[in-house]
Amino acid sequence: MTRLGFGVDTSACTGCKACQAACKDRNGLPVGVLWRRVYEISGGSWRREGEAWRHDVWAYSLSVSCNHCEEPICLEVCPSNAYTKRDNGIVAHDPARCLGCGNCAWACPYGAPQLDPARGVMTKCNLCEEELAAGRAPACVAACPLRVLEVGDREELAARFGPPDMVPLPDPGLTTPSLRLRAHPHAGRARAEGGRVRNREEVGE
Amino acid sequence: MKSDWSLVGFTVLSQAAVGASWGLAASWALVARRAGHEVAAAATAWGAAVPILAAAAIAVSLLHLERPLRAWRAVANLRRSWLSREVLAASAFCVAAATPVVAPTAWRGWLLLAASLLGAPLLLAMARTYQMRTVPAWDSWATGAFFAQSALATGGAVTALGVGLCSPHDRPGAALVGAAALGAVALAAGPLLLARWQRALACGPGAARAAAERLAHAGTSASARWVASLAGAALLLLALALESPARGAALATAAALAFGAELAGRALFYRARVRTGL
Amino acid sequence: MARLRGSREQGPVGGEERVVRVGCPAHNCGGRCLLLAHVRDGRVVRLDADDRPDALAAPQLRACVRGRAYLRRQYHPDRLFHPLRRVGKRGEGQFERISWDEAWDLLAAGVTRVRERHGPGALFVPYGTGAYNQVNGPATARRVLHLSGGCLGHWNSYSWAAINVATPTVWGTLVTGNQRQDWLNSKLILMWGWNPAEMRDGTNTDFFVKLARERGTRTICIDPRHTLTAQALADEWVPIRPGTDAALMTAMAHVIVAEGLYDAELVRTHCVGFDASQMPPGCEDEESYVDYLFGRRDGVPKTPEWAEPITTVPRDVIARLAREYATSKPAVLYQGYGMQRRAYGEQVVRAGCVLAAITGNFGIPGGWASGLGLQAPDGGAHWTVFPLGDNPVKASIPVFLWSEAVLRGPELTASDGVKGAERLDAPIRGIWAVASNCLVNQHANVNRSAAILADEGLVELLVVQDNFLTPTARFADLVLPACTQWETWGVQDGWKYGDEVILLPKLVDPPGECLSDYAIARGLARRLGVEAAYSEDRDERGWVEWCLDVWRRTRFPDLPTLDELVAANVGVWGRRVERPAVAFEDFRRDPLAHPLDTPSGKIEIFSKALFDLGRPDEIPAVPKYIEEWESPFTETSRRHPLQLIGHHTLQRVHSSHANNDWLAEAFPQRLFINPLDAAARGLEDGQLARVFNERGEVLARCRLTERIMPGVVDLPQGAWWLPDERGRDRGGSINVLTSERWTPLAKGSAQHTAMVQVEKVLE
Ligand SMILES: Nc1nc2c(c(=O)[nH]1)N[C@H]1C(S)=C(S)[C@@H](COP(=O)(O)OP(=O)(O)OC[C@H]3O[C@@H](n4cnc5c(=O)[nH]c(N)nc54)[C@H](O)[C@@H]3O)O[C@H]1N2
Ligand SMILES: Nc1nc2c(c(=O)[nH]1)N[C@H]1C(S)=C(S)[C@@H](COP(=O)(O)OP(=O)(O)OC[C@H]3O[C@@H](n4cnc5c(=O)[nH]c(N)nc54)[C@H](O)[C@@H]3O)O[C@H]1N2
Ligand code: SF4
Ligand code: SF4
Ligand code: SF4
Ligand code: SF4
Ligand code: SF4
Ligand SMILES: [Mo]
Repeated sequence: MTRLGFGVDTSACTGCKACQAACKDRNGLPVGVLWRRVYEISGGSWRREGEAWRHDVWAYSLSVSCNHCEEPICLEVCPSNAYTKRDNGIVAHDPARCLGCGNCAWACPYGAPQLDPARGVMTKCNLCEEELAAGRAPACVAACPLRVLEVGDREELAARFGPPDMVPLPDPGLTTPSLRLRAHPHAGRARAEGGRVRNREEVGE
Repeated sequence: MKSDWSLVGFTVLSQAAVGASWGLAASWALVARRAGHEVAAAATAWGAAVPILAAAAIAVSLLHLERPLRAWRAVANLRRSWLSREVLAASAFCVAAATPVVAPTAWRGWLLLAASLLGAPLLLAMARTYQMRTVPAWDSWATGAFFAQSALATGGAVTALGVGLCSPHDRPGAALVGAAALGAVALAAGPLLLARWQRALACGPGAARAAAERLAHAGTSASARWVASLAGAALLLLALALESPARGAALATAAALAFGAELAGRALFYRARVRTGL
Repeated sequence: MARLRGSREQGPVGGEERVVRVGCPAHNCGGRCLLLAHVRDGRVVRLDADDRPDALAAPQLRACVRGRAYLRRQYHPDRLFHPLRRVGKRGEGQFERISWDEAWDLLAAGVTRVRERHGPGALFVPYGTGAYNQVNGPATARRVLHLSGGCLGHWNSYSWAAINVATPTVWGTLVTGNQRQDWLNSKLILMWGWNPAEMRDGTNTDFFVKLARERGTRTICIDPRHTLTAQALADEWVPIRPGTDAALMTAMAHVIVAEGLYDAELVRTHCVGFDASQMPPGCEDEESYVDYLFGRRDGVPKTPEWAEPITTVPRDVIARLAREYATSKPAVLYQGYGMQRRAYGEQVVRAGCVLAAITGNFGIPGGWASGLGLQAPDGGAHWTVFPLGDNPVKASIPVFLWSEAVLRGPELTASDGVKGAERLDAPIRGIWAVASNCLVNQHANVNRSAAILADEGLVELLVVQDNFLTPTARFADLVLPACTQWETWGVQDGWKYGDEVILLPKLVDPPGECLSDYAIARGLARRLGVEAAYSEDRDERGWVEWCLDVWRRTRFPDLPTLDELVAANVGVWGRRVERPAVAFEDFRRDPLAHPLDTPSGKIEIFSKALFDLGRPDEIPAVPKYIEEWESPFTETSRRHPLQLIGHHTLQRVHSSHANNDWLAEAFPQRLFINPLDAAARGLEDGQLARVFNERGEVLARCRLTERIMPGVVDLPQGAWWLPDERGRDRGGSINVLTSERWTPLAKGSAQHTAMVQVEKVLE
């Protein structure tokens, strides 16, 4: 049985956010709700040398949604059983069961569950189940102008991409996310220098 | 997920209920089970405070939900979710604590004792709910310790107040002395626990350090917690040396300070909610 | 017709829903993309991505964030729904609703009155790039004015003013580019002031660069900002002080020539003016390019040591860039347009072209002749196909000088760039702005423009036709509600690049009383008695058919009919690029048999035509670095020490989408400032800053980032001007701070050249 997940070639992700907007459009999300978010991680410094400037500035972007984890903590903590892990790996969320207690949002280390304040329920990426059922790619994947965002079988992605351990992602051991990454060349810098998310206001707290 | 205050209230009130059930049940069981004895009367009369506190806690907790009308669903995931178990335990405790109030007088003590035993699983479920592996500040020994400490501090103060008001003698009895002493020690332990926790966080992983950082900038809540804890503890002990009605007033003030201290402490606990990852 | 079938059939999907392949509305956005619009109950409810097969020769046209967020513009509550007449003072934004009959009467009367009082040359349809879909947009207005007596014309653009004029001075043409698939053949791409990840520069341009890199192409981004391109598509980022690129190019040329890394044989056979041996007749004693490089006239050798303090690029980096570019063959030196929207924008264009020429990077696969780079063989996309009709008024002005034409019309002569006449007959007295926010928001020096427009003694008639009450529309006497491009028929080919025609079938009816730009203009034609000539009995769809005919004749002989295209619901019809065309192949092979369209027939490193203008300080005959009029080197920089640029952001298409909430969420308007500059001002991330110079003041929140070089701040261009009661802009509109001064040769926009000071605001 295929277990689905995302693969992202972060080395060529521009941070253009077409994926984010496509997701909002596909799912009718209000401002403030981002099932897919694009994090900017950057750093480096500047040094004056006579009249010249030298720098070692670096940056990369990371597009993240729900990772349909193999050990989904959202599902473990939800009191109302709103989460279901499907055979194809999708961690589905049923808003009709949701109390809006926020526990899953506290727990998920990817910030995936997001409250829709108007409806008073948690919402999150469902991996575009309907699109997949119709034989089409998820909206975000189909949107990516750089073709760096993929959906596929976890194992197959694992053969082509590296582990999901780039800054600022959490220890994948916490939830075993179905996310694989081709690391940006500056991933190492971020780790060594304690790279930070620089566009906090754009991704929500 | 409305503001954290509802959960601050819920946890402190329900822990107070558990603590009070322990204190009152203990004074009933250990000091005087005899009908007509004032301590027994105090324990069973003040036993009504326990379900009131517990029910208030549950009511306040509903304020946290976006969809309170669906609250009944909260026990749908007992198989995995500690939150579900916590909700079940809180409801069970509340019901159990309410039974003595409507039961014949003779049964009250025993029923109170039984309810108090249900307090332990509630505290456990509560602690486990917060001990999420993705929130390092909470995923710690301190969560359980805080909750137990809170229960003893507020429970001790409530017990002391109850017994104190029902036994207006010059010399405080064993129940009063015991409850006040326990409450005072627990109250004073609160800020010390907090300090230890904060130190541990500061050398923990990133999210724990960020939590420590937040606590370091907590300002008023932190000082409120210190002042109220120490003042409350001192007043509890001082009350033993006073005569009524001053003693009653001191105990009431001490209880109020205990609640204040624990609410402030709990606010700090919530402030430390820094999740690992994004 | 096999390619006409899309992989999803049109027609009801889930009840009443239609799925229509449609072009993203053709604003001036840098791309042209396809979307799949889901239409239900007369409303577009959802947009999907291009679902056609994706191949290098004919890639999918995947939309950017703006296209994906389009419904937030389409269904914005602030859309204009009715014609409005001004009741307050100009600029106050006080209007009353009127009927279309009244609106057309007012428009017709206004046009007639201006013509009677001042002559037809006093009427003007300004630059406005909101709609390139052929039947929506300013072309419809120009046509009716042309057919009914004429109006003042304009030439050039805000976008490419200097590059349009400078490129042919070297190459004799604007078609200096290869088809983009050819980048995969390059060893090195210098992305010079080029940011396709944000400004697209043709849909898929960023994607092609990615593919080239996967094939081993090395890429270097030269930009004061560490752009999204620098992050994802570059091996190296070389920050450069804005406005000094010509100095870097000159120093590179110095290294290349001094070290003998140039293609001496090609230079001998294909160029003029390189050194004293090949000066054009009559200019034998003038300064050649090599003379300039080695300082033989001015005593200043243009070495990396010379360029370092100008550009802030370390000398070793300059030398390495030169060697890399000269020795990695074939190589592309691609010039973005931001650096030519500057004081001496012409020089940077010419200097780049010369580097490409002397390193022999033209006329070969994987090379690039630099300059504008329209694609071979035919120049690629057309901008305006819709016929404008003959304009009885022959005079036209450089588009950027409209405010000069208002203030001192008849004084403007050929030396100010007036074409088609000695001088203007009249100042501009009537303006009909269609799909343009370029009178106030997008033109330089907003406060100046606003003051000019507020004076009813100058512009007597001001009509603005838009989807929203823009900062420009707030000044209008008459506001006309245009429909969006999904509420009428339209068609487009690429943005600069592209080998396809994209349809915009009408998806839904316009809301309220909105009409298409075509219908509005046709209404005026009726009032002026020229409707038959205007419409030729066609409606919008009919004109789309007419445009397809033009493309069939000029670019795509096999283009199916509109009916066929619509029936197949393909949305786009394209031509595969299997073997990308290369510019100047013939010339390279045999320069005598295939001379360039320059006066000498060769690559003009030294331009006799420019020499003859007799303005060597500002328009030298060989490309030179010239210090900008506002720069860190000038006296005023003590008061306003920071250079201000404003990149073309993904939040907007210029000022279009300025009110789109999803885009503001994705890319909030911020002042980007280096932490070193911020620290010197006590500014922290997210704080409100005041950005000011003698022209105005903007309040904007700042984003601290190492991704902009020290000494430079970036306020993305296009945010709406929202002046507060003290005249300070709270919208973050960069043009409050920019200068209306134009470039010397092209008379074009130099809006990227501006100096400011930034201070913390106590909130
Ligand atoms: N997202 C988006 N894309 C667009 C548009 C839009 O509004 N939004 N508009 C479209 C239109 S009409 C046009 S004309 C094009 C414009 O395309 P460009 O003119 O190329 O775009 P800019 O952002 O002005 O400039 C490109 C880069 O040049 C850098 N730059 C500025 N000054 C200098 C300099 O002096 N030297 C160097 N080396 N670099 C410099 C900027 O930092 C920026 O990253 O974009 C098109 N694409
Ligand atoms: N400081 C600074 N200023 C700049 C630039 C810069 O780099 N820096 N760039 C310049 C460049 S390159 C350009 S091209 C100009 C662009 O300047 P403009 O051509 O003014 O472009 P927009 O600001 O997008 O304004 C277009 C208007 O058309 C409206 N519109 C959209 N679709 C339609 C339609 O179908 N019908 C009608 N009637 N209206 C419609 C939109 O709502 C919008 O108000 O800005 C220039 N200004
Ligand atoms: S659409 Fe693709 S390139 Fe753009 S941010 Fe998303 S993943 Fe990155
Ligand atoms: S990313 Fe978060 S919400 Fe998604 S499955 Fe994993 S734990 Fe659950
Ligand atoms: S917010 Fe909803 S989905 Fe999340 S844990 Fe609570 S009930 Fe479950
Ligand atoms: S898979 Fe669908 S729901 Fe999930 S992030 Fe992508 S577009 Fe959004
Ligand atoms: S590049 Fe232009 S046409 Fe393409 S989606 Fe973006 S805004 Fe639309
Ligand atoms: Mo432009």
